[in-house]
Amino acid sequence: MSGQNAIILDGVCKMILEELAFLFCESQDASAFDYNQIHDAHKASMLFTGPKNGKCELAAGRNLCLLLASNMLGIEPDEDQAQAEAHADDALKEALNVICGRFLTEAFGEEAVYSLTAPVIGAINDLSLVDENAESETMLFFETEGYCLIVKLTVYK
Amino acid sequence: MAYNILIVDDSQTMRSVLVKTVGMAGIEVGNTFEAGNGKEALEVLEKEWVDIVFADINMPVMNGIEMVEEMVKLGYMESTPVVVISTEGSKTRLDKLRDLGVRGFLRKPISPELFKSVVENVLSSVGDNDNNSQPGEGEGK
Repeated sequence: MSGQNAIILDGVCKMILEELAFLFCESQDASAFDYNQIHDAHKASMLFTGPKNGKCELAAGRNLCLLLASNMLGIEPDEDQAQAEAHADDALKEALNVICGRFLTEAFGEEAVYSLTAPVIGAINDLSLVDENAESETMLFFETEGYCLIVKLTVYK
Repeated sequence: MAYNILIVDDSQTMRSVLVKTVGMAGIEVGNTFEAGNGKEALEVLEKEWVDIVFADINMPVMNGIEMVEEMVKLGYMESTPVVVISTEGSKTRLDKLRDLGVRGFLRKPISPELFKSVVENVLSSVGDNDNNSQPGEGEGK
């Protein structure tokens, strides 16, 4: 199931980021991932409850958050830096919200009813920790516009 | 005709995107009201005339389903159409909202073309209903 989730999540992330913010993502191997690029990363996370319970997380560096916000709002980041700054965290949260919602339908079907918590911004340092309560954990790495992006899905037992 | 719109979403970014999308869709707008959750939206509806509500489902304090249920109780649903714009893909939940009287559904991320099509359908259906309604509607609550 974890492998299947990874395939679905990979496709959903690419589709949503393209449709939502015109960002075309390429998958990266974890071994080739440059963690230095995300030392200043912000992480959005949210929980879902339903037939399966779990957590979705999305982490991106500050510059990618600014680009995400700018593209969603249709503004030039250089011309309206203040507006992009003001929306950077919120854009990351909304991107996660859309990815999580779409993933749940794609993975578990239209009949399943899920409740989602509002996304919150937190520190990135717990992203790589193994959750003892997890049935499966999936971490995907992407590159877009020269920036790195991490998506993590945890499904609880 | 210019429409007063109410956008209900806890994401400020998404509210800004929707304001822009409404403009791109060529919908003539009078006043634009914004609310961060269902409770704030009901407060706007109490004070202002709103022609159409665009509402998310997953919001803190009062979510979109609870807001629609309150709108049914307060009698707003007949005169004020609601279009749900959310990540929701559950058929069960969408059927429930349809039964409550929600007129349109859009799944994020939304395209301006689909947005325009859904909103025009909803507003024209309200126009049809208005032909059978009492004069004076639309001037306040």
